[in-house]
Amino acid sequence: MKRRGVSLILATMMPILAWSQGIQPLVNKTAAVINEVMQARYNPSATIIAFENHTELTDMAAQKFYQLLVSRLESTALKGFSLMDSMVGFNGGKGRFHNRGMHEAGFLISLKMIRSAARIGVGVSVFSRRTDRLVAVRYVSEIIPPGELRILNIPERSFASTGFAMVTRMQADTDLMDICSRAEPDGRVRHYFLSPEKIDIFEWQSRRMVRLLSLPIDWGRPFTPARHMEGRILVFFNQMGTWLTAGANISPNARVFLFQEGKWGQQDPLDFVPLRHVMINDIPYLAGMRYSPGRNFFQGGLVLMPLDTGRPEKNRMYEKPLPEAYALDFTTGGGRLAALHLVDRDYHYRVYTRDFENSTADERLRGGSLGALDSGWLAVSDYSRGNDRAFFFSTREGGLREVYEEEFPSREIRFIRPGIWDGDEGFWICLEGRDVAGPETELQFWKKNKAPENSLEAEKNKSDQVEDVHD
Amino acid sequence: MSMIKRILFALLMVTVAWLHGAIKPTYGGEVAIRLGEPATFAFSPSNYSNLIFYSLIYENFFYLEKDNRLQSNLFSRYQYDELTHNLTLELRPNLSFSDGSPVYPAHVKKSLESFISRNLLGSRNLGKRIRRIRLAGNSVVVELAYHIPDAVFLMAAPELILQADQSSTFSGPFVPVEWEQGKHIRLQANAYYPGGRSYLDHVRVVFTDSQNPDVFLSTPGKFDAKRFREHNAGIFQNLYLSFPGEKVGKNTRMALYSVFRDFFLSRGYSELNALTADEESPVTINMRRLPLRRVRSVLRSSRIQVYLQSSMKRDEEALQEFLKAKGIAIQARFIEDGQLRNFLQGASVEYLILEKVFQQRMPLEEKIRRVVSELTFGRFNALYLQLINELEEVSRFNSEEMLLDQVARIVGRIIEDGFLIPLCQKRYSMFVNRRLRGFRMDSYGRPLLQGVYLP
Repeated sequence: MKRRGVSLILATMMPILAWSQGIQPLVNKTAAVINEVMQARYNPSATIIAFENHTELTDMAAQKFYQLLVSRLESTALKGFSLMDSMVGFNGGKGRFHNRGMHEAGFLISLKMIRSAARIGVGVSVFSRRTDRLVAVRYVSEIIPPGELRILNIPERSFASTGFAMVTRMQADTDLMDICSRAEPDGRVRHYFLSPEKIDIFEWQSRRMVRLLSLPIDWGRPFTPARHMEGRILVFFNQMGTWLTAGANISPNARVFLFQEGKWGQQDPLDFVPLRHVMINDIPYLAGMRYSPGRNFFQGGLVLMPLDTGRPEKNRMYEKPLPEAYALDFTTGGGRLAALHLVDRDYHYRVYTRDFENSTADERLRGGSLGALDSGWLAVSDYSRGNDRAFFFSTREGGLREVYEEEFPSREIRFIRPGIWDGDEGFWICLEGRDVAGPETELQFWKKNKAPENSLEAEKNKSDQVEDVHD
Repeated sequence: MSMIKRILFALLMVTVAWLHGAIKPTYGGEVAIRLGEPATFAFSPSNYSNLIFYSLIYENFFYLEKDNRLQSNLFSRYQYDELTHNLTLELRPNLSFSDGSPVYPAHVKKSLESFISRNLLGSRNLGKRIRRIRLAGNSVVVELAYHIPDAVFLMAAPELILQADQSSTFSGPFVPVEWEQGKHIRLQANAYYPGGRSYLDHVRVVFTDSQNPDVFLSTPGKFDAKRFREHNAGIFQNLYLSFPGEKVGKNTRMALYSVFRDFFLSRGYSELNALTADEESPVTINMRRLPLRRVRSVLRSSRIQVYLQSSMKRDEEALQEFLKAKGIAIQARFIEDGQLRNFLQGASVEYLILEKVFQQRMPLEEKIRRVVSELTFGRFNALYLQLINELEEVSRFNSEEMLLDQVARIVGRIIEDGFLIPLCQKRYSMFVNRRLRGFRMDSYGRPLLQGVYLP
């Protein structure tokens, strides 16, 4: 009878015990320690400049702890206390932070998570930048129940309604190599599809893709057939008109077309594959690389060709060294080159700053293709065969924070390209392999949802938006 | 850990390893393939080994896929016109040979003419049906003598290849760059290969097993399954006992047959009681085998020299030991394959052991024709010529019964003449190192190394 009574009491107390343990109490304790240190200061400003995780928590779980802590500090802030969130990314057990916060905040906070027996502890060190000395070192710890640890370690998949969602999909030609969507000067969005033998220009009209024009491509000689044909198409505008370039791994010469006086005229070919029209030091450039002939990767350096006269200036072209890459894309800010993202031949994601010198290889992130949006999003395919995934990252503030991921069972991503659909920026994802009764090669458009109801509507419309790209 | 758990764990690991392969095939690396050494780079497909070698440096017009579809890297389109009986082959634009020189329709025409002039069943079958070959723009028009809607399938022969004007220019996935006689030939990826640049940078064709080949032919089940994947190559090697001279007694024939059949059966060969393969022959050749005591007695009085093709030289030591153990005095001599015919003309050769390699897919009539025309030497006469011609006539009627009847007549004649006796047969598997990904064989048992890549 006594045992039953004890069991009953314990059963009643369990939720309370569980509540008193876990990540939230650890966050509360850490926030309380920081608040206590700041209490006696006048209008203190602080920023976390270091955060290390030496526990079995995954990077994602550690990042969740950090976000909860920042949120807690902001909600329970003392009067006059301001906290700057400088984190730009977290991987390999270490956080990466902006230098800006370090130069502006009065107090610099360093956090370190460690495992101590059954508990997880957080060491907090606070450094005063003004007095140039350590003002506090504290340690708090908490038991994290195994169940909660498992939940914390589940990869973040965000909420579908706030993450990325597929808004349209369509069957594509099996040899589709690339797609480029551009809002024309007249405001209409046109989609340029590159195949080995032609460029098709489409426009979305009355719920179907209507082909406006088909430009045949004769690659000429030398011609290096490829087992996996890859190519890139680029459309940009300048004072001369609309330029259209197409390069592929089957020819060292990229084809160039200029739209003038109502028709496309072929121009002199280029000996590299143009990838993006960018501004560097207020000079327009055509940036590109060269495919290894017949193979599936870029080699040689990044080619930069000035366009300040309106036409490609071949004599003033120069190159910046880059590793061999399977995929490559750029982000720009107001047309100016901001960063260069690539997947190297070891399938590692690398990012380069605008000076092309600082390369950061992300050992954790491996993929096959990628695409980047100027609005601060990066999509990378998985390092897998047969069952692919797409990871969507926020690149705002120069960091890399995973926001959403999507699986494509029994399919592989052929390429990811930035695009425009229904007035919004997003990613074209070209998939190979059959999905239940779907087509062999499918083109999907994914974009960041603005509101939950959008995604519901999009989900509802998924099935009736399946259209053949042919007119 | 229980056996079931281990199996499940192994399956899981295999699945994980497969799922975490690279998303794009990796270019680069070298693999070694064990083949017989060719005499020249000029196309001369005298045996299966050569056929594989030349498939690495010359491109076929068409490949026959397993689902009976035709695939071509050279032609963008082929079309048969029922009214005119014209077969039009449209050449893909911008194709080049290994040196970058353009492939023109004239090269296709010349290659086709070269093929139909060869003394091969496939060549004759196609040649007889062609009235004229002409050029039309970027196409080659083959005017057929009569209505043959599936004539294009006759062009899927492995011997029909694209040849350039220069002998040092190639059309296949690889190009020879180094030849060390007796050791190896090094091939390099052809950047202009019409089927798309191969994943491998180099292929080393080795002529000895000491160089650890990744791809080689051997007896089924002989190699470690953990390291090598076994493919049915459909290849078999037949051994024949031949008596090119005319004065060979019946007892001597039986004695030699008994000795050598016993020897080769002890070396892993299986019995062969037909001219080509037991399962496809309408007639079985049953030769009486003599007991060892009788063999010794028959062979004791004569000094017998048996000539064997040099391809069997690896069995030389074992043969000497076998003969010594049995107490039989036979002298075994080995002749280079290339010198066989000359040697037979200049020397008195009474006893000869020959080998012939066949591919399962080769038509029965072609195998019979090769046996009769290539192994009869001085015994080939007008009667055999007539029998062979009749065989070709019969093969046109598409009647299995008539064909087998004619084969039976030829085999019966050979039995009657008694100068060629099938000895033994060995089937071969293609062993492929498991590190090779994307390995595939075509319907002729040729490894398609252009699709192979290394992880």
